[in-house]
Amino acid sequence: MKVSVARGELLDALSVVAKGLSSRTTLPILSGIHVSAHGEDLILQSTDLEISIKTSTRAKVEKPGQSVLPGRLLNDIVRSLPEAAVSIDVGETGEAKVVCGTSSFSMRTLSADDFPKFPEVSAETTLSVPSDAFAGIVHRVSKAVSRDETRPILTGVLVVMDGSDLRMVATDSYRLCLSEIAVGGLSGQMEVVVPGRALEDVARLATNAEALSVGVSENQVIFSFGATTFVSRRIEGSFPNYRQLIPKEVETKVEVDRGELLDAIKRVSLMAQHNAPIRLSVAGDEHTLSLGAQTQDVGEAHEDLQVAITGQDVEIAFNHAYLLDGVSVAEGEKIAIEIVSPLKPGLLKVAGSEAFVYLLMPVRLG
Amino acid sequence: MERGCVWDDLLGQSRVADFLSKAAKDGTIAHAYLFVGPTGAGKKTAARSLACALFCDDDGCGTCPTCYRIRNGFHPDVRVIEPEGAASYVVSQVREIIHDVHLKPVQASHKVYIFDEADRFNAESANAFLKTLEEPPGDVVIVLLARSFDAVLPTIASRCQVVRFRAVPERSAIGVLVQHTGATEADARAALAASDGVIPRALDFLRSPTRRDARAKLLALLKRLPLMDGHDVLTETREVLGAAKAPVDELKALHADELAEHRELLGKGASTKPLEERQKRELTAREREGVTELLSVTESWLRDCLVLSQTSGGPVMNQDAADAAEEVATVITPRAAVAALDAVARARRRISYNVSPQLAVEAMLFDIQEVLRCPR
Repeated sequence: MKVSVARGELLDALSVVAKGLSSRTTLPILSGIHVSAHGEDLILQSTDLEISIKTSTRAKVEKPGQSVLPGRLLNDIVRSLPEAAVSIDVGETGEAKVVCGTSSFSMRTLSADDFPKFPEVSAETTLSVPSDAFAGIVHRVSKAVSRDETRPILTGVLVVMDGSDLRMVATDSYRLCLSEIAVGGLSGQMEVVVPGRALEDVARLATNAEALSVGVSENQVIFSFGATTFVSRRIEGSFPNYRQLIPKEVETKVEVDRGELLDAIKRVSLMAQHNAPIRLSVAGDEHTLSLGAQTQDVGEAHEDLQVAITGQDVEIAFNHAYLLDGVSVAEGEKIAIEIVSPLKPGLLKVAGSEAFVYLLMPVRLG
Repeated sequence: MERGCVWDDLLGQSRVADFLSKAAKDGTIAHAYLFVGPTGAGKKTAARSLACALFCDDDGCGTCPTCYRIRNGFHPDVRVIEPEGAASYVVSQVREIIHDVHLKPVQASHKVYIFDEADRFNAESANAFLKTLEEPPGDVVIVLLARSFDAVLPTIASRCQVVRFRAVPERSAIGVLVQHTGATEADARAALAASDGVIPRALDFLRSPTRRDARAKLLALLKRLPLMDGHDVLTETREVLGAAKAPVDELKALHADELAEHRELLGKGASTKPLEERQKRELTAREREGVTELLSVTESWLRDCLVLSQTSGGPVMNQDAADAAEEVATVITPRAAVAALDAVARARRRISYNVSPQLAVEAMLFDIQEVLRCPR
């Protein structure tokens, strides 16, 4: 195989596939990038058996062929090269030569036959989403994705395509975050659970592309954007029924300026150490939402906010970090806090909208 | 019974092959199996064959790309897992597997996880694994391999269907060795005796000149043992043990290469600890194996003496040392032979208690020398 390609384009393509490199020691082949040259394209692939990434870039192919090159090393080499044409030449002996200007590198390669086949999947359902909208929705739900492997289904995000809506739901059993956007070009209905990490990677990689398409097959989810295809395995099992968790009727509703609330939570949580909760007291007569936190042997903090209140007075407590997460990812001027009772989960919404719901378990007041 | 060609890899275990191939065909595969049997009985081969039978469209043809990938360890839906800790499975490793268990398969209809040395689960890693082992998703098959049922934690064993493998009969084992290495039947029999009947180890033995050299040195020593004085025994023992160590050095060189390649592929910053720990384990195992081999050779030679003393021209394991054995056989009584065999068993036990191999072997040779000098 012999190709030459502009350094900048090669580096862009390499940094995309670098996300899929595995650090697992048991399968050294997965630390490599599969490089193949055909026609006028240089195609790069990587996989860690959970996600697989394939991307291509224009190149001058002098001799078509394929090989597996050490991933990190190739990345480091290309990064350090000056802006010029880079030529990659893999000879019969299996040694790869990377030449750019006057610098040249040679390295050992691995057999391309040993590299796992890129999953050839045909999507049953596809849709196309503007990439910034996709990144937004992923950003909002990803905080609530569980990191605890004891319940694997919760390490994923439920992606629902329903009518003209794309909805994502994530929960770690302490909080649940639901976010939805309206998109066009939907075909059919689908509910899949996708690993949270894969969604975050896709959102990050797709920022340069205008739009991305999401396809679902029996075992995989396929994201395509620009010249890149990103395939992730789906998580098995059924996601908790989130609809029945979200209360329909609430006793108290508070509307508050998002910026003010965010700052107040940040200040008051300084006194919520060692997992001490943050206490929210709603007083309808005085139109105040009071935030309070107290840590034994350290001290306490208190702050009142002027808010619009409908319903009964109530006092409820939440974990401060989880509350902060919810308020920080909500987008909108005003936030609605909805409370049923001190022992039932509270709701955060963007005021006047149902497109973002953050359900948070309360902490029992001591 | 009709079954896919892939089961032909499994030698001398037709009952197991019938049972597993039928389960795969009828779709009555269990979620977890515990394969129990001596090393070399074909447990890992059977586990791979099972994966082939499940994945392949042709009940395990053994030749299609899917079967090729499984048999060579490239199939993304078949994982072979070995303990990563110095002596056992570690929790972080188990967690990684659990994560993978709950993902959908990459390309096949099932996912197969093969855990080698399942007796090396300790309490922590077993506890982390139990829930997954008990009720994995429907498309997961977990195969645990262990040498004996009793060595596996009961909490693990009780969650699996147990499949017992028998030791491969000597006749067919010799056939395999001759076919693979082109050795003579006598050499193959001697190799089997040295490796306790474990076929892969016997294959290695036949291919390693250094290990055969160690055996020859030991047999020469045994031949002259009655005539030697104490000092001679000590110096020659050291020499034999040195010869037994030679293969360890070969392995060390191999490891150094592997480590260098690993660094080259993953970059300088990558962690090499799991790899180094695996190598350390292999090294310890190899060292042990070298000494065990010497003990097995001694044992089989003493057995030859015993057999020859009771029958004329009975089957001997060590054809090349038969003359010395015959000489001893003319005078030795069964009771004396058993006393000598006891000395070997004692040495084995001592080494398993971490007595220095050199001391154990020396003591054994002195005991045997006493028996041989006055064999009545």
